[in-house]
Amino acid sequence: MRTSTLLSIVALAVAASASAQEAPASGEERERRIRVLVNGLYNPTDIGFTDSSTFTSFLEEGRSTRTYDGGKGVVFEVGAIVGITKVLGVMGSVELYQSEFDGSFEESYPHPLYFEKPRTVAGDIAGLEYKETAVHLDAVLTRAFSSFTVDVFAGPSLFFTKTDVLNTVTTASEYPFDEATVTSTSNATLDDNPIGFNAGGALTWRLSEVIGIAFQARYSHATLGIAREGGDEIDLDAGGFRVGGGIRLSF
Amino acid sequence: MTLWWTSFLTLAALLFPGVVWSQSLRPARTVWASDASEVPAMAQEVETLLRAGRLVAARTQRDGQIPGRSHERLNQYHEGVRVFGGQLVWQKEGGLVLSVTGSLYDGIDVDTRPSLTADAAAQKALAGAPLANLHRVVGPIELVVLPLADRYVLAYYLHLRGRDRLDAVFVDAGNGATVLSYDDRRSQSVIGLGVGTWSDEKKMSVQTAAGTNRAVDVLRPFGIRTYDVGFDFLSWYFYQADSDEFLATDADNEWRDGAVVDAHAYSGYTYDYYFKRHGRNGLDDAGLVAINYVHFLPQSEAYNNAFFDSVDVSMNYGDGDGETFSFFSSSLEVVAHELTHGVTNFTSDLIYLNESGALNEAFSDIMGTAVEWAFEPPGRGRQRADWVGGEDLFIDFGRYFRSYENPRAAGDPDHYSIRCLPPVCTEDYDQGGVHINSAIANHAFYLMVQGGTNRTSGITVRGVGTAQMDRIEKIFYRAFAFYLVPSSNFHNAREATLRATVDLYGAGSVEEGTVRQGWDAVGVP
Repeated sequence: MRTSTLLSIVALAVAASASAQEAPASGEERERRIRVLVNGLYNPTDIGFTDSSTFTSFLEEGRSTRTYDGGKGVVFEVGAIVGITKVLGVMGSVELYQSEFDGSFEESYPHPLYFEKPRTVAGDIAGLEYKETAVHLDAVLTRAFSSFTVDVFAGPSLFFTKTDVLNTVTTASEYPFDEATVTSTSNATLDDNPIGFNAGGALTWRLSEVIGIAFQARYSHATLGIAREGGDEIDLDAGGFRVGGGIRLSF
Repeated sequence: MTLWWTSFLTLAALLFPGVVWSQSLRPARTVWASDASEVPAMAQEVETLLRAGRLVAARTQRDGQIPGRSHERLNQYHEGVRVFGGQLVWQKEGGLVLSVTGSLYDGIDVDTRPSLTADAAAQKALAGAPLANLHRVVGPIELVVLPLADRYVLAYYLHLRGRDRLDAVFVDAGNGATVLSYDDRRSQSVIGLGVGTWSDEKKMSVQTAAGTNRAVDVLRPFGIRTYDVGFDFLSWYFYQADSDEFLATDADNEWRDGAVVDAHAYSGYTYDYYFKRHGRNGLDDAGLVAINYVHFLPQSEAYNNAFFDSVDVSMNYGDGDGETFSFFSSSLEVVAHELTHGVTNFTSDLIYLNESGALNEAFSDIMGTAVEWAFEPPGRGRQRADWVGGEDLFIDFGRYFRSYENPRAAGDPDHYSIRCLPPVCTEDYDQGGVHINSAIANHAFYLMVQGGTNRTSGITVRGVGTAQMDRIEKIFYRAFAFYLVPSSNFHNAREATLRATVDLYGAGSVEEGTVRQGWDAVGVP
């Protein structure tokens, strides 16, 4: 529902800006009406999150703590800025981000025969993946200088995320059940499509009337509402601070 | 005969589809190749059967006990249809087959083309089910070859779920008759909450079966069964109380009969102690189930005792008089004491008379105390590890039966020279002092652990300390379980513990000195 709503807004904005192009304009403005952006960005922020939960087993409370870390990586972005006036425009862009991260777990299982004698297992998980597609729809303020253009933008974002997490830890324990050993683990991919916001700016060095090189920084944010089966909600954010650069093509 | 019987069954099944006419499976051919000389040929045969499709890999289990090993289960098939119950397991390590075990059915001649569809078979099964139970078909329906006692039958294997049942049903794929049916509810091990005599909470390892919870511990490999005789003295007296009807039960799995809870849970503690500390698997070291009886005498009897019955190998706990004594299962030490009599029964079998009888009692006291120290926090007070015996049985806390630290405080000898002898201790009085002279060995054990000075000899022993108490426990266990014989005396016990010490810790070890000092202190030559 949220996805279709935002896509409708994007479509309306593009349609509105397209109709705005039909209005008479000076030649300079007309050339700058549409700018296509292609960026390569870097996400320097770790995916650091913890998935903790408690459960009842053998009349006692057990505990599960999974900690995840890593996830720096490269973001690819394409989009377009459509100028509505000389200083105001709308920008639609899509960021594609995929990174690998690792985790570790510690599980405490109540003893089947005794109170307060939990068995603990721990281990590491490697090769988890976080995939994020962010659709940003921004209002853009543009200020052109002799050979530079400065854009400042902000607006809502829709994130499409897939996050791998450790789902189950299977253990074996034999009489007298004082110890447990991990026999296998399984991962799950949790989807969520939260709506958030983004804000940032770009400095473009116009090499010609058509092409320019841009430096861009953007902060985007949304909070995921994901939980594995039997687990509590995981506190994890989408987006983050991303810097990089790319090219601008003006039409 | 077989043809006639088969014809009769078929006709009967058609006339009375709800009635199960044949209920037995035929025995399979056992396959057991674990010897290096047998395994290669058997493995070769398995390979052949696998290639021919007569065995099909079902699942592989990792060996949790021996790293690197796996156990692959291979189901038997006949012309593409699984043979119910036919299965081999081959154990492998690094690609090498270590064993092939299981069972196979031979001489299968059944036609594997069914006349009925699976849905039709399900309808047939439902038609034969009692309507009152509102049966429905649940789970998958599988075509199998069923090895009945008199023939192989191509059958559909399905489950019927009733209001309070889950039946495995086999429907003849030729004529729709139910050829085998049985209750497939697997009894399940569950953990209940037990409130003991002294209002302490314990986990009760019990079994859920037939809609209730029964005091049957199936988590521990040897098993524990606790019977609530319900004061039906005659049933208990004639050894008829070990039927399921006397098993202690609890509907909500919150057990509040302290006598049952403590007997059941403390038996488990004691078994765990023997397994973990001494590697012993049950009373007989062969997985013998432990049997507890509580409430076996009318309350008016006010039975103030507990005992091990060597005939039916059971522990029997009196209810106590309710004024001075509570339930005799309310003390972990006492339960461990009684169970240790069972261990003695299957090991040294010390004659319950005179010195051997005193050693029999002493071993139970020592192991009882050791179990108490293994599970209860040290200190003074109820359910604390200490050096007196039987204190948790007293309703007014503060009294005790025996003192290991100072036997004379309980009227018992602390030195061999003052042991109870005839004419005071005779066969007619405490079986020659079994509960009196046991104090001498108990005190020796105490001195070896805790250290101290014997009040009679004045000899001081440097104990190993309670942190290393397990070392002295192992010495006593080894001596009493492996070296003593029915007629052993105190001197034999001294020699046996010294021998056990050398076995475990070497000649000239600190422990050897401690054990020697301990026996010297109590005057045992």
